[in-house]
Amino acid sequence: MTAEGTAAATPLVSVESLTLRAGRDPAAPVLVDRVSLEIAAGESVGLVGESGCGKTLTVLAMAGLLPADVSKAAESRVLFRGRPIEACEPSPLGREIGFVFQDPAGSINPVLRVGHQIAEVVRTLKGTSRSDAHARSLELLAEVGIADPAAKARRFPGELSGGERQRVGVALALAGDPALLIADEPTTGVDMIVQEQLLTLIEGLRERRGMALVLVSHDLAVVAEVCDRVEVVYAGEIIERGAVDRVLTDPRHPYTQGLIRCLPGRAGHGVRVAAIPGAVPVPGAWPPGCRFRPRCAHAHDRCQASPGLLLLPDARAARCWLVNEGGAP
Amino acid sequence: MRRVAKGVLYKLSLVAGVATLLFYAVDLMPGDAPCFGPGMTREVCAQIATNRGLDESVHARYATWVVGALTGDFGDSHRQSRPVLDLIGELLPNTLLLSGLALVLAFGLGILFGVIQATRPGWVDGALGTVLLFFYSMPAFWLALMLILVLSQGLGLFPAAGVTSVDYDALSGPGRLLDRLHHLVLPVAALTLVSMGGVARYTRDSMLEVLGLDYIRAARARGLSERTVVYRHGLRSALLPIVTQLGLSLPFLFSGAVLVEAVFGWPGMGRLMYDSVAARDMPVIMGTGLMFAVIVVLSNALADALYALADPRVRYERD
Amino acid sequence: MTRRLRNPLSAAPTLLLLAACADEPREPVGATAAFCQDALARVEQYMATVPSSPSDSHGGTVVVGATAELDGGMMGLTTSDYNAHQHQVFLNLMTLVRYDDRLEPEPYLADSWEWSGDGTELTFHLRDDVYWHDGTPTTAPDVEFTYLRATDPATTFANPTYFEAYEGVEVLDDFTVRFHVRPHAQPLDTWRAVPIMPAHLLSEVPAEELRDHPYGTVCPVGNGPFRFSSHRPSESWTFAANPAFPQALGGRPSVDRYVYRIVPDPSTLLTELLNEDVDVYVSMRPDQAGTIETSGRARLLNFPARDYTFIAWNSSRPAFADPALRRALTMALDRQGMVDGLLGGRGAVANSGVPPVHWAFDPDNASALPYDPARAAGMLSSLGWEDRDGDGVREDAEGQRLSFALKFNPESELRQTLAELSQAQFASVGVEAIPTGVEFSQFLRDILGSDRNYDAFLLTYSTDFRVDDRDLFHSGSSDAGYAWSRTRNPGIDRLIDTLQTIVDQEEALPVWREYQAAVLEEQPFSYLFYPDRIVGLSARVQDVTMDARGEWVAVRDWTIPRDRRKYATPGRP
Repeated sequence: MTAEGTAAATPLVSVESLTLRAGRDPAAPVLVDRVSLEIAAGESVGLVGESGCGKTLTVLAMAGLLPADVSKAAESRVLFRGRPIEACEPSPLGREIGFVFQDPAGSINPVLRVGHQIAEVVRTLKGTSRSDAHARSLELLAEVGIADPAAKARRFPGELSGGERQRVGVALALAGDPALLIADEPTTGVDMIVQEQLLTLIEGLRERRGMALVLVSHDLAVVAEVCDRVEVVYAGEIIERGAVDRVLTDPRHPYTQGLIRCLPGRAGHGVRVAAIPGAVPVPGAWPPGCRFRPRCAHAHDRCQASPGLLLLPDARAARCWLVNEGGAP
Repeated sequence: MRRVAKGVLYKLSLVAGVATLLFYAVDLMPGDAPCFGPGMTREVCAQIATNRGLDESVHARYATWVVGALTGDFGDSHRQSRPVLDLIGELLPNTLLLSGLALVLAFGLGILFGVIQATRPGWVDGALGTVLLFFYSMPAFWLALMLILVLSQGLGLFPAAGVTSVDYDALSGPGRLLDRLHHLVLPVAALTLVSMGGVARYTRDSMLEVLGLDYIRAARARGLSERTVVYRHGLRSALLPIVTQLGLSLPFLFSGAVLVEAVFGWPGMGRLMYDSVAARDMPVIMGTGLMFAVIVVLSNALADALYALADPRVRYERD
Repeated sequence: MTRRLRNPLSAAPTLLLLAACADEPREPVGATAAFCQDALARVEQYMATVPSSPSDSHGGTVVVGATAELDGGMMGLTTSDYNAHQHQVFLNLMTLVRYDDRLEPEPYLADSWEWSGDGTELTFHLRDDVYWHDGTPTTAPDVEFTYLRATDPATTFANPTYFEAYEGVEVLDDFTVRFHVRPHAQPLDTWRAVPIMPAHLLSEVPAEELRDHPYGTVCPVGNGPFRFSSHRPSESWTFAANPAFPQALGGRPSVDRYVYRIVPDPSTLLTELLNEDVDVYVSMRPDQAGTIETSGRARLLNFPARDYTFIAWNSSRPAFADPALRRALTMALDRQGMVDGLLGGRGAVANSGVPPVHWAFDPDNASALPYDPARAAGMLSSLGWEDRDGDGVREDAEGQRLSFALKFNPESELRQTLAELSQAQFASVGVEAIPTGVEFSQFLRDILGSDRNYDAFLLTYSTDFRVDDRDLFHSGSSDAGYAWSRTRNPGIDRLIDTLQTIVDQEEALPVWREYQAAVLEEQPFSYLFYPDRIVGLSARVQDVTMDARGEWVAVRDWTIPRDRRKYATPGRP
């Protein structure tokens, strides 16, 4: 498949030069800097990076869910099926875009029964009757792998385990049968076994339903397991993109390389073999030129100037001067 | 079950403690039952005290009172010469009616205005907030006097005082209801206007806080309509602290009504308590004090129960 | 939603229903319940048998508004409350004699009376047509019962001095009763004041239980022109015309129904009067009189009574020991100014506890201690009180400042103002008075306690028709509660003793003059003024006359003209 070929069909979502600021003031700190990316129908894309680099904001903007205190620059565009997402009527939220939130406990209303909450969404989105919506909510619970859905539907979120709560979160996102599922750190706060189950579930659902998936994670391993394509984000910018297996085996950006080194060894879970020194600079304190420079082992004088996202073969790209010099150092 | 029994025991001991404290505190209160006037000599006053058993030691009187109270006999009011329970039975419905209606209205309107403020930021929020604050910061009795001056004395729309008209007994059933409502308007308005500002403010803040929570954003993200999000998800959660407030307000409205009852000549518990303290009418002080303690304890329990009803988390965490 | 929030408004009808249930006359519980049920049932039974033939002019409901309950209700043996006493003697009960408008005794329950030659036997002949409201005739044993209970200390009768000269009682027949007395002044005043109580209902009640017996507030059964119909505590008393009241005494009252409403806030009460929801506003605050005058919606009535307002001096405090100093302090006060300014002219300057309505009042006394700050200052200087350190307050030779706390109870706005006014006037002659408000029951403890915890205080007091200052000024009672000035003056002792034994008024008059002069000289109190009693009347009520005998003296005649009647009356079309 050529680059021209993908562009021919309208992507499901395309983000063009997305710039987000912390506030209305044009001088306010930039949180996300001219990010452009596209999600094609049925595709599964992972957004990877450390906390605070703008992954979550990017996907929130994709869904048109930006918090009130974050503003989008005028030239930024988020298109859903080729139309600005704000102009879509009815709103694609829920109907076309399902969103699974980072914190299942915080994103599900704690004072309403889970079955009721799912049925409420089904009724709103599908306009079905109360009893049909109820039946559908049980189906959805079953689909996300909750045992004894009828009993669990009567529970309050607080009465469920963390894994069950996240499954409910997925069910809520699926209630409108969306074409795109956005999952923002869906495995935060659950143990490895549950994480594994959830990822398997999400992968399975995507395949069965033919949905597109955007998975946000700080963990490259998670993305590697589920996604076809990966976008590595650092300090508000995309610094590397490409097919997952290619990026994993042949990372071109020193940051990606660092992330891969951080992966637990194949042999034992949870053992960090290496870490990238330093921390992600906070918005507003990004260094000029290459933003990874202060943490980079290969930093060089020319890194004073930003390299730009350099396109590579096989629909790959990386934001590093080194890529022109033929591969990884 | 054991926990329920423990809770009941705790509440009972709380009431008993309050009663004991009250009895001894009243005994220490300066001044005696007014015994005054031409011919009311010290001998006469002393004899009155003897007749009422007030010359016994405070411990003996307390013991007598406790024994009586345990058998349901709270003694007779010195001032009204009738059993304290009868007196409470006659005046409590008046207060319940006034405070109850005011409570319902203050919370109903307060919540309504609070929600309007929270969902319409800008001039609606500002204007409503200013008006509500205006009434909230007014002393209730002063507002009561103003209402009387303007709406009763000035425009003649409502009676200024009393629970019913003088010819209430001669009225038909619906006539009686109307007559009662007519007399309720001003006192209920006075109590409601001064207290609903607080509720509105509380609701507004609670609502704004809840509307900023993740699950509200999540509810929007799932495609629910703004109405559903604000009222079914937002309001429901925002009301939780207000429900507690409601329970805790019950005794406040009992005590808060003293001045308003006085201004509107409303024969209720507030005035009974006030008059009984002024007259050192011990059986009434104790009877009403005990009742008040029970109401406070019950209100707290009710607040807990209401909270549990509204918030499932409390319910299942107890099980 | 499986669980709905309860509709909060659903509580409202329940509450209304609850209140509606409370309308049904509540039956009192307890041991005394039977007493009251029985008593009231018999009143209803009897009243149903009395032929009522109201004339055209009869009818209507008159509504009296007042700020306080009728404390003690209709229990005539224990009342010390002015309004309650008025209701007893003029509405619900009867006295043996009553005063005419010249304050001379005239027959009432007693048709006639006579004295034995030596003045030790007083025999009353009762009317034979007076019935208790339950149909029992009022007879001599009722009078005997009343006397025996009133003189029994256990009853705690409010004014034992009424019976100081009494030695015994004898029932001669059903309608004749004789008292054995020692000769004393104004002997009939006792029987003007003490209402006769129903022996057939109360003789079984132990004396010590009478004061708190439910008869007084739950089920009074009187024999006067108005019978009791209901009492809602802190709300209202309702009386109905008694059709069986003797024609010879004027017959039934003009109105069908009389309601006494309790509205504790004077401003609200004023509104009620202006709205004609109250027809007679009694004991009105003087500052409200102006509103009535300008409103045109009600009219005023004021009359001199038996109250007086004064500053009591604690003469056991060295600073106030000298009568000359007390006279100087009185002369520093602009008492006429107080009458004009605070009372709107409704009152008179006072010089003793003998009010102008009293037959022995000495009008010449009035100019004896004029308002003269210059003279007052001179008197204080000559007594050795000079402002030696220039701070505006006088000191004696030892440097003791002429400064004192002037106590008053702040529940009375009038006395609050009065205290501040006095402070200013005292200050202008170099005397420092510090107004000190004390809550009423604490105030009473201060002024009645044996420790006499005051320098000076402000009070309005009420004297009886039979003025007797023994409690106040006789050295023999100077340790008792009311000896506020702690006066020890043999001349005054002798006069007080003498006055109470002179039966003949002509003979007593010069002694009374002498007594008033002596009080003036002694100045145990700075008497300020006799305030008139002020009453507001709505346009509905007519034929209202009031005088020193009290607001309710002619309540039987109060009329609501037909075109002014606005209330439906139960049992009358």
